[in-house]
Amino acid sequence: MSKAADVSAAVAAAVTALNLTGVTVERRKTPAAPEGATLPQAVVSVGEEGEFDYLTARKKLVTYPAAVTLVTAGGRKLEEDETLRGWREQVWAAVEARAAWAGLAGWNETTAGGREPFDRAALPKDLNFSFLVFRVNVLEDRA
Amino acid sequence: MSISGKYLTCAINGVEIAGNYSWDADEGGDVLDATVGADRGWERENMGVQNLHVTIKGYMNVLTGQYTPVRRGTEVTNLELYRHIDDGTPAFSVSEALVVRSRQGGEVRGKVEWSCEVHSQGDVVTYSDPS
Repeated sequence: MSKAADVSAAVAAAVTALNLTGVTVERRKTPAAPEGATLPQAVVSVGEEGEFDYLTARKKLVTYPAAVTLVTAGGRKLEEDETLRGWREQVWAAVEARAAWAGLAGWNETTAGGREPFDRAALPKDLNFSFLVFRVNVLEDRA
Repeated sequence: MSISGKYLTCAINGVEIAGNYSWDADEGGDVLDATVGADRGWERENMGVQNLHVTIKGYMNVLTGQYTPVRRGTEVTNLELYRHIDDGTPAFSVSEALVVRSRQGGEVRGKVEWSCEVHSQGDVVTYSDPS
């Protein structure tokens, strides 16, 4: 499996382990939910690798842009949603924890922020999206 | 033309020093004043005792603990400094050396690193130009 797929699997496992009530965990390139999809969803998206940082003659640091998007029904919501905020806190705690990455060989660190691995403007307007964007750094062998 | 250090590395006893990313070899020693009257007011010097002082830096893998211990006091045999990992002949080959200074540290928003200063011991240095 590619490192990007390993990153995606690790994030999905960490979010699944939270057992957020009623939330289905999916892995897709974009959080846009297909017609008739069961909501709410937590969509794990990992984009193409970003910058390479050449550390030594043998190792490089590769950064993968990633996101977990909480998709709920009903279009852009303006009112406060405590349930959603609670889910966000739990997901952040899960993806930032060292334990979430124990199975990913070469994992270096996860930092919040960065670019989304999809085009936010292309998402449908009739669903509510809450984005958690982060970068995953992995130590990989150089060719 | 290539001036990149992208493939620079070093080894002890044929084993690459884990996490090394920088080496610096300083050829120095005593400089003896040999100025005499015949120099008519201009300085003249002679080479005295020679040395090779090497500084090596590396990253420490805090997850696996992979790190080559080069703390102060370590006696090193067959230290080899390569400009390029594929070179057959190292830039400097030092058969006997002593680690006289070592440092370790890191920052929350940075990397955990180590560095050491290694001095050659005796007439043990072989130098090679890049090929």
